[in-house]
Amino acid sequence: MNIFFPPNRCVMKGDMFYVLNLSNDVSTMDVSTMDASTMAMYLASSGIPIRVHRWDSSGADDLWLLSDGSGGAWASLHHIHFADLMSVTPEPEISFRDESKIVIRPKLGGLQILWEGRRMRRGWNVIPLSDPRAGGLDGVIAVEGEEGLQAVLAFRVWRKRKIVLYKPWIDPQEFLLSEVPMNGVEIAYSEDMTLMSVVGQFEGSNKAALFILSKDRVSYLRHVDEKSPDHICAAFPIPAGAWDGLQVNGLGVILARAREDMTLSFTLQVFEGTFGKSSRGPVLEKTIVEGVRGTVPPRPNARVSPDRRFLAVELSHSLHIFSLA
Amino acid sequence: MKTVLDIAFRGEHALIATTEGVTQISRNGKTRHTSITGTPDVVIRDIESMKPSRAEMLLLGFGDTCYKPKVARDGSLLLVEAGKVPASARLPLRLKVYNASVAIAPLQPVFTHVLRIPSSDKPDGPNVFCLLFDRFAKKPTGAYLLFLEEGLKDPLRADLSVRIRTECPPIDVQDGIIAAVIGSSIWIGWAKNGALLRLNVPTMEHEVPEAIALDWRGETLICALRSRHGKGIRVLRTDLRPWLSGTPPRDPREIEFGEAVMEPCLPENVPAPDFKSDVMPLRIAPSGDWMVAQASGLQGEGFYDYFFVVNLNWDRS
Repeated sequence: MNIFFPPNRCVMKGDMFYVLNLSNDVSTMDVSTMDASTMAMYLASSGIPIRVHRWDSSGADDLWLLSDGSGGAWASLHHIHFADLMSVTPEPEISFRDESKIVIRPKLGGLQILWEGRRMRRGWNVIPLSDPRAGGLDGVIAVEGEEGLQAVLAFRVWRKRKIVLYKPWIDPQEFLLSEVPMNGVEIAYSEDMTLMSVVGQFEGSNKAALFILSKDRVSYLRHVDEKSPDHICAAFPIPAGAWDGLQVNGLGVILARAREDMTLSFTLQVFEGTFGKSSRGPVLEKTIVEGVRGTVPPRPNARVSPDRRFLAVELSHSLHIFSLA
Repeated sequence: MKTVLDIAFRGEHALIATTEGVTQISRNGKTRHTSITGTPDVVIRDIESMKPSRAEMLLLGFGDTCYKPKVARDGSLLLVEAGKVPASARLPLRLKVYNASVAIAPLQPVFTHVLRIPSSDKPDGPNVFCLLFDRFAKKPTGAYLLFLEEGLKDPLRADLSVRIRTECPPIDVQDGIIAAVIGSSIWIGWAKNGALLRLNVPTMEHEVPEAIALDWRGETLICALRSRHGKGIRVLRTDLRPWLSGTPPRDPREIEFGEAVMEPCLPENVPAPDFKSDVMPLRIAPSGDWMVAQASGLQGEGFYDYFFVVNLNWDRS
């Protein structure tokens, strides 16, 4: 399932939407035992999720849906809001602070990005629903920076998972890491830059990697390799100064480990993101939880909330929220 | 068993449309019947008059033409022409080829069930709810539930893939609120939200909701639960407002439910059904004080299959 963190909520989207209220006093919980005031289940139009990271929203996800029109009608864009109840309402476009827009273009077979409100050469800015080279569209992440829309990531699946990266003025390109689920990309903003962490495969092995995202390029900072018996199940960027004792940009990595007594433990490791020091070990290590019943699926679905207070994990038959603080 | 298309409540009468005809049943149990040949491809539940008491009407669409039941001067029930099938109820299956829009006829018949609830004081939001499915079934089956707003260039507001009973579909809409039995749960919501919230009703494990109704203001939900273990029917009602305002009770056991005493009104000269296993609640009147049920079972060598009225008494709840 895709995990989202709109303001004060955690949303897990499968066939249905499971909405958890995080404004309640939540510590560790198993979703299967939750009451109606903490968790709600919704049915809504089916569709491809679009996650928008806004510059001025303290990192919370702005959630959209590209409805694929299962009833036979053409696709439409829906904005997901949370007030008393969840609402999913059609909107003509997603707009950004620099007048960039993402719109539906039925004639082009998908979405179109209008960088700074302008149309460009076809192929630069079209995200088709299906693409014979890269597979069907599975999700979209749009990242806004201080200067407006910085990058759009299109998640595609056909045998393999790939990300196609869209930036203004250049051809879309396949991203360095593959097999990246939508949950594997995390964004953080510092005063002057956008940081991005990605969990995925590179040269056959699982990694968590840290990047700086600017309007014209994506710069690699460092990565952390997965070492058996730990699974990297989530990662998040840490801007310099945001955590005690970390004066440079950093990378937080969540590791899941299966114990012999059939329980799981989750650990947080924090690494410095400074260039050239990739061999250095974690500067901080902390056990989040131990003794969780369950098995780790091959691709654990997990995300850390934008305020870095919670870890949401989907195990084979259960959903959990753990407190990181 | 007769295949029931839908039921409309009109004061002291209800109209029951089946694939065999239309039956008018009064609260005192009196019935009138008219036969039809063929299954309509569109069934529309409409509101005919808003005030002083709302009257629902059923329109049956065959091809392009709608028919509606009418009581003739001699007291017999007739089907009369009632205009064209509205465009919003036609199949929205369209294919675009080289910018030419072509409406395509599907290979299998697709049935359309429409609830048309003209907006009274709430002009915004969807007012037409369309269920598309390819077979009538008494058990939940795959269908699409569309929320449409008439008068817009693109009327589609939401498009839900659901499993729902397609015979007399358990959907009700009142004053901007929609309620439906999807799968084996009750789902409710503001129609303008385009999303339905699952109601956490503390039912017994063997009970499934079969019929639901909302009162005229969409504030009270009434549901008929039927036991799969042959333990009979219960009709409950509860206040929906805490759910609709996003503050549901923490513990489902805290939800206040009223339970109706059921007073069946059987037609004359019919075998009495076993209430624990042979009665299916079909639709509850929005007034909440009566419902229509179907009784079917074996008697001796033959079958019986008839409709009857169940009065709901809430005095003791």
